[in-house]
Amino acid sequence: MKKINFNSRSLFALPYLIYMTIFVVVPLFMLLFYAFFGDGTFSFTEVNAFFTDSSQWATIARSLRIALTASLVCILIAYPLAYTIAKIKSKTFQYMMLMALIAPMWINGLLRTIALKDLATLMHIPTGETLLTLGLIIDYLPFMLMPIYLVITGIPKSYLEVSADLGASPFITFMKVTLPLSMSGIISGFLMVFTPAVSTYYMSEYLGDQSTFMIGEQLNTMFTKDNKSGAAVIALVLLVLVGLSVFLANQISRIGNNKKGGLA
Amino acid sequence: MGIVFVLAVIAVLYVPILFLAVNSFQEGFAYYTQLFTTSEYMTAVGNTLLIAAIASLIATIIASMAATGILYLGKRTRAITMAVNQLPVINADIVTSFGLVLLFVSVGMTNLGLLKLLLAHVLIALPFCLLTILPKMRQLDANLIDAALDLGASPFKAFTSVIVPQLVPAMIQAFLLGFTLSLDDFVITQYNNSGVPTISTVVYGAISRRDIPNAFKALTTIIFVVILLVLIVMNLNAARIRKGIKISRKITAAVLAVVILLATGGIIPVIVSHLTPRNLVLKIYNWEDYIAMGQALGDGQYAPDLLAKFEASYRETLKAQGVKDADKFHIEYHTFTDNEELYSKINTQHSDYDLIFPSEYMVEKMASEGLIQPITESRATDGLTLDSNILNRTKDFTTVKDQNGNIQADQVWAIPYMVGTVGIMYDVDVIQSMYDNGETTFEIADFENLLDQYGFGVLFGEGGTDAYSGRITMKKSARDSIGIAMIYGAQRANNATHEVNQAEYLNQTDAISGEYDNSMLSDILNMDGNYNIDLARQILLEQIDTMHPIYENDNGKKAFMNPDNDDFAYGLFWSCDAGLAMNEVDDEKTDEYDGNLRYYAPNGTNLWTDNFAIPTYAQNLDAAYAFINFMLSPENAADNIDYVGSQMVAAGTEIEDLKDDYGVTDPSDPDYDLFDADINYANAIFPTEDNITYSAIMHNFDKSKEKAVNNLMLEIQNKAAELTENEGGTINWFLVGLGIFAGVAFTWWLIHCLTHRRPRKLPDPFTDAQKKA
Repeated sequence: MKKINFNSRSLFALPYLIYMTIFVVVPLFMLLFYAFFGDGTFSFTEVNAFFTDSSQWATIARSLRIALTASLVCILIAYPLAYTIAKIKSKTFQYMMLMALIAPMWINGLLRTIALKDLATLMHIPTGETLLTLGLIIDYLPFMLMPIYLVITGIPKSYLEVSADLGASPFITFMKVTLPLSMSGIISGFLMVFTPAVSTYYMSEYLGDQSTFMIGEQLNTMFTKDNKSGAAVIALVLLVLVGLSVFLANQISRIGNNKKGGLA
Repeated sequence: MGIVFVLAVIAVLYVPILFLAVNSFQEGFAYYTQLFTTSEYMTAVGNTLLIAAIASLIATIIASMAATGILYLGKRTRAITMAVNQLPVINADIVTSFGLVLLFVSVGMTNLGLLKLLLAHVLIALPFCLLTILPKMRQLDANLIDAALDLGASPFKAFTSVIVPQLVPAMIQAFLLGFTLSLDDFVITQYNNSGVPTISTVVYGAISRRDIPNAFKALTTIIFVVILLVLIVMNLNAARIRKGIKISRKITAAVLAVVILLATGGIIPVIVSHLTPRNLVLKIYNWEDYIAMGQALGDGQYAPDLLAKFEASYRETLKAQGVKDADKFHIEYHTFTDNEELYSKINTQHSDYDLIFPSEYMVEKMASEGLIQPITESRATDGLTLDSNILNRTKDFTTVKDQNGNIQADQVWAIPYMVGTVGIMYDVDVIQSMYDNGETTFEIADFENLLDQYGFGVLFGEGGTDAYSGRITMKKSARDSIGIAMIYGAQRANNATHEVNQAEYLNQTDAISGEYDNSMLSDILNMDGNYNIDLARQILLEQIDTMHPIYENDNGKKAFMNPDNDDFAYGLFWSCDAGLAMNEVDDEKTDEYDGNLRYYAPNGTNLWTDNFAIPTYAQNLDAAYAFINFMLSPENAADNIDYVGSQMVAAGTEIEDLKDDYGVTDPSDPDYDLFDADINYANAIFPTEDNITYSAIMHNFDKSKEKAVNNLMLEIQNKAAELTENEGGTINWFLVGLGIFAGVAFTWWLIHCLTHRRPRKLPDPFTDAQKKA
């Protein structure tokens, strides 16, 4: 029997590669195409129309502010949460807690958003930026939690023991070992929350008010009104925003000098 | 201490869910029966589960194969592959979805229904599945695969019998993750859906008019119970393992069996419905909550179920014709929330609905693009008399002409279903309390005089109404807000003193023709002739400064209906929404209308209609015609008007009786007062003859005007948001402060890490030990 060479084994990746090429790579080029060739000929019309409106910049800034606040608060909640869960002795209990935190996603996101809104109405909490931020935090917390949890549980116990043996207090061990090593988890979590938050449209529509008009809502309006090239320009702007945040996150992660795990 | 924090966070996450769960028992188990007996809901649940299960299964299989293959790819290719894998993970959902739409549209893969959603949902799951499986794959002993291959196994055999068994735990994890993400998704489903109802699309449709469908509150409770069960089983399982009793497999199998049973319970009706012959199915695509179909009205009351009634009567018709399996005839009823959604379903996805309900301008658009077929009027309205006044007003867009422009007798593009006006809904309690607080100088009667005098002008500050600044609503819907701004702008432009008098306006003569007629109003509303969109831009921008209006879709209606909400004094509304809201605030037990809401449509407004139309791709014309005829019969129409709260073209004794019940009064009656509570309520549902006469229809716009209208609306929304934001009232400084605090803490920590000396790389005893070995 002839030994099969490595290349034939890599063929196993073929369905995946084909799928990803068609459904991930090609649509990106379609976005570019529609943004510049929407009317059949190459033009900057849509791009110009977008960048010359000053209110547009206010909308981008607003989207960034809301998404940043939500993701930062998410870190503040998710980190201690993940840390506490990771320190629970029984593995089963850990999984149960994680399960309990992720399981609400079995109930569709839109349904939970409306439920939150109805509850807020009942409690006389007005819709607006506060409620929207709260909604974003509640909805995306699992996305922040999971990467941080995975990274914390991935830190070898020996590191902590070494630190303790060398005379560090638990606090110093946390500050100098655990936290720096979980940086990559924080950063992936940040990206996983920031991106959907900055581009949300149904959450800002239902939980927000007039003053929380976000860029995702704008894309959605253009899409539903069949303005594909206008929507493509906004999609590209969102892509650039996300790209920038990935770049920045990678820079920070490099400073943190930690290459373990993480999605970024 | 820590665990308290964890439990507290869990509690917060479950509060909205528990809220729904508690609500689901409002009427005993009625919502639960509703969930399991309403085919629309069961189909949606079935579709959702089916898509989630199959898509994540496919994704898991592709990902485990890929995980094997990727390890053998060249270093460079592998890096690129992993980077591409990250794209959908961190890319915004809305961008991914939009990209997919462009892809599907450009290759013409439009009417794929379930298959398209499946392909899209594989994309949701796949990257996460790979990220779950790949690390486990790395831990596998590569020698095992080599050994299998050396011993003569084919690569496929090696994959299935050596790799897969070791990957099973990771694959289960990947599957569950994919399944969860697919259930949670709304954006990708909404964008790529061609007429396949899922939980999220049905909810989205329902909330645009009222609330979460009660049945879905029941569904939420059921899912919540399943979550609890899973947690309990996990716990029990662990306890038993600790005691050394190994029955975990049995329990897992039992749980799996229950889940599969539940899933198939939802899936089977879906499969069955796909197998029914088309002449036994009537596919209807209507606006959400726009027909009486047995909805719960509270207090144990239910609206008449016209769909079930039609099914029963049409089964008899089929039986009389000797059709096989006539008892299996049923309606597949799906809903949409705006005309554009309807348009894209028919235009790009060629969905095979038999009957749709486009608005007037959409009828024009679809007729011009060949998406709907002419209806033979005599057949659809066989044996019925209709309200000729309304029918005449709709002739502009329903008349069918041949290529030479000759009118085709007895052929129409559409038959009106619901008819109404655009006007102003106001809350008498708020207006009175604002007067009492000294915020305005208008008592109710004063305000009503202003309405009478200025019409839509009150939305733009005429006659001192700028006192209501910040307390009024406008529609996010571009056509409506811009159309009304045009009407007001033209009123103002035609009157040098700025003091616009409604009656005078109606006597205005057209500069060109020299006489008043509706064609001037039509020109104004449609931005034709002497009028163009710049007028609306100027008016709406001014309005933002002086009136601080709140632009809304349906939040406004809900705020007006909520007795505890005093945010708004009045706003721009469709009569159908006003009718619904007034119905909601009225105490049904008394004969008099005693709600706090009123509706006023000025003469010279926009007349809207939603219409029966039959798409070109319809497959069951007989049933479609029978259904139109059924709905327009006075008896059924009266039931329907009573529920929906909007006028239909049907006429007959039952309709007259209904009008009497509502208190419709002839304007010549000495007691007639437009602002009398009862008459006002009746007029919201049955537009006055004056309203119908002095009104114009908004037509379909050409591409450039359509774009200009939509872009103007976005511009207005951006401006309005900026202004409200700058007023500072809504920015939550607490959260911003918290954000800044987090940012500072983060930066401090970074600096701390950088400046404090620590080993560049911490030693890893395990890898070191391995190296030595």
